[in-house]
Amino acid sequence: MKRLFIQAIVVLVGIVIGAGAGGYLTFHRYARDYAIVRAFAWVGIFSAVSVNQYDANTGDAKRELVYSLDFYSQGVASSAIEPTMKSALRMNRGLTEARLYVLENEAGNVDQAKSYFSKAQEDLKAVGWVDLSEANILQVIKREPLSPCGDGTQNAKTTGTALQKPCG
Amino acid sequence: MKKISRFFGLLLLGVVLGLPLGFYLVQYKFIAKEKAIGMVNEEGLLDEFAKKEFAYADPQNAREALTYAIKTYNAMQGISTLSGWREKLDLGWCYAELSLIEESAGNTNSTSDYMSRAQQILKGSGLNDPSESHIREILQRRRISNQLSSVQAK
Repeated sequence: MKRLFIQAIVVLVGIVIGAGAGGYLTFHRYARDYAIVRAFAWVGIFSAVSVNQYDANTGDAKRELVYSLDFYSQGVASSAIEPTMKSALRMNRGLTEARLYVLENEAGNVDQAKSYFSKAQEDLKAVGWVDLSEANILQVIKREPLSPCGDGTQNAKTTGTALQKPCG
Repeated sequence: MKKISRFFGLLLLGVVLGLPLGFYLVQYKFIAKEKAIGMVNEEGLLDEFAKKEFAYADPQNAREALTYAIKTYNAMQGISTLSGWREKLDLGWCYAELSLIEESAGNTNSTSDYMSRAQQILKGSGLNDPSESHIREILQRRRISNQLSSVQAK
């Protein structure tokens, strides 16, 4: 009886080791082949959170936007990403900098705000934006009221909120 | 000696049984979901980029962005498990916007080709009136709305 029990334990330990090895090998191959898709999964989530925090004007908005900015900057600097995709990331980086400009202005940090705004203009210029005036950029990133169900209209999509489908 | 070889034999049996289990758990409980989210986010980011470029950038950059978004949508059709009606609708609008850009550049063949693709996709996605005039009207309204918001902000 005792022998049988020990043998079962040995098989179970083997199953655990095998499952761990199988899982690790599968994940390793996935992480190597789908690095960009993985990055997008997390960028989308961070971006959605930070934009929602900005729209809701919460105390965490600045911290979340800085995280997003860091993600976008890594993407822009990556050599594994295609140039058009880099432009998309760069536009989003510019818009994130513009949001940080608004927050720093509201906090009274004028110099920091100016620095963010000039970086935003530089990024948006690089992706071909024509009107780089403060008014135009502020109009693009104006705070939108939050809906629990997502807007559902084609125009209202912001990065990461692609997962928000309309209610019903 | 016999005991040791039996011990390793049983352990090996366990490992062989555990390998597919680990593969299954990681592949279907984690990877499939993360991959689907990543693909939808990638499509969403490119769609937003294309739409903003159409509204705010010069025609050359807007054309590149829309073409790239269309290429990505088409490549992901059938692969992306979360891709649905909304992504299809986005694809239709990308073709419509690209059609207007080609029209302003004087490329009449591309204009009609892209517009007919847009109509086909938007009709399939359930747009009530997928006529060219209605699509143009909606895009025009959007452009005017962007311009008005910009002027008001100034």
